[in-house]
This record gives sequence, structure tokens and C-alpha cells, in this order.
Amino acid sequence: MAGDNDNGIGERKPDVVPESEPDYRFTLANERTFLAWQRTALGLLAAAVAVVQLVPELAIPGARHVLGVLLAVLATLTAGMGLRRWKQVDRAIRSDRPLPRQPAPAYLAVGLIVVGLLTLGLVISKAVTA
Amino acid sequence: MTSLGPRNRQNGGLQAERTALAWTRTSFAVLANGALLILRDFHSYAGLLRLAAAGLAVTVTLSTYLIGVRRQRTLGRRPLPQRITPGREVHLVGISVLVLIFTSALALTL
Repeated sequence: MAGDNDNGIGERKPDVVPESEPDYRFTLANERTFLAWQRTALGLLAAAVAVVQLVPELAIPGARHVLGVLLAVLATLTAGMGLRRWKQVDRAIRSDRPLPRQPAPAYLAVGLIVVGLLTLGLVISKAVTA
Repeated sequence: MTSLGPRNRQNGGLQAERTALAWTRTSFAVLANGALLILRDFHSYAGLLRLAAAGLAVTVTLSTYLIGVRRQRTLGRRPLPQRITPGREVHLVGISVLVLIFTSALALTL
């Protein structure tokens, strides 16, 4: 009896879009995009590890670690964004809605520009002090 | 210029292959990170943590690679299974990559 009641409430929900199994090509494209995000995150992590493990001390002591932390934060955001994005797109293609907007590549680009400028500054300061 | 015939349109050309290769490529990216972690000696306490992070990377590499192999088998089946969304696999790899990033960052800042 309680179950019947619950079903009635569930059916009256107005904003439930019927979901269906999407064209498998959309599913696979979404899957590959997710993996591309994860690889981007792993590339950033590799850069973070390399800058701490391999790069000799720069002109400004500790600058290496700042750069490494920045890259690791960027890697975390990228990996998290990839996962979130996969879920969003999966929901969208199941309910046949347009894909949600995607500002993440712009953030990533800004982050990479900051890392690039910082690196450039460190290289120049090293060249000047040497 | 010929368009895809009905047979090829039905099996989606090389979609399945590309997807399986994307998993494999991702597993190599994880392995590369593991290798970077053990480039320097690991006799200190921080070094042991780096070694642990590298061990985690190897585990994630193996599971990602195996997911790729399983995926290739699933997507090669005809007719294609009704439900092919890799929800569990995506979550497993996504969370593993996040854990790997945290562990590596921790090992390197100590």
C-alpha cells in the first residue's frame, strides 16, 4: 500500500525526462573524451613530478615546488572536470538534450598560460643571475 | 569516394578500435607517471612514499589496460550489447587518477 503511494508520487514528477539508451557512437565518443581528459591530467601530473624530481634548483629557492604544486592543482582540476563532464554528457545524450556548455578548456588554457609565464620568468631570472 | 556501406555503417567502422586504443594509451600515461616517481633514490621516508605512489600507478596501469582489453571484447560482439555505457569503469579510472595525483603530490612535498 505504501509502495503504491510512492509510485504515484514518482509518476507525477514533472521534470523527469524519459531516458533511453543512446546511439552507441555517442557513448563511445563520450568515453574517449573522458579518457583524453584523464591523459591531460596525467600529463600535467608528469610535469609536476618532473619539475620537482628532475629540475635543478632554480634562481629563486622553492620556486620549483611552487610550480610543481600549481601543476598538481591543475592536474586535479582537470581529472575532476573530466569525470564531471562525462557524467553531464552521459545524462544529456540519454535524455536527448543538447550538450551542456563547456568552459573547462578555457580554464585549463589560462592555467597553462600562468605556468608558462612563471617558467619563462624563472628561466630568465636564472640566466640573469648566472 | 565511396561512403560507408550498410555493413560498415552498422558496425561503426573503427569506433570500437579507437575506443579500446584510448584506454590502452591512458594506461601508458599512468605507467609513465609511475616511472617518473622512482627516477631518484627512494631510501628516505619521502622516498618510500614515492615508491608507494609508483606501486599505485602500476596497479592503476594494469586495471586500465585490462578495462581496455575487456572493452575491446565487449564492443567487438555482434550484435552489440544493449547497454554499453562504461559507468563503473569511468568512475574507477577517474577516482584512481585523482588518488594517484594526491599521493604523488603528497610524496613530493614531504
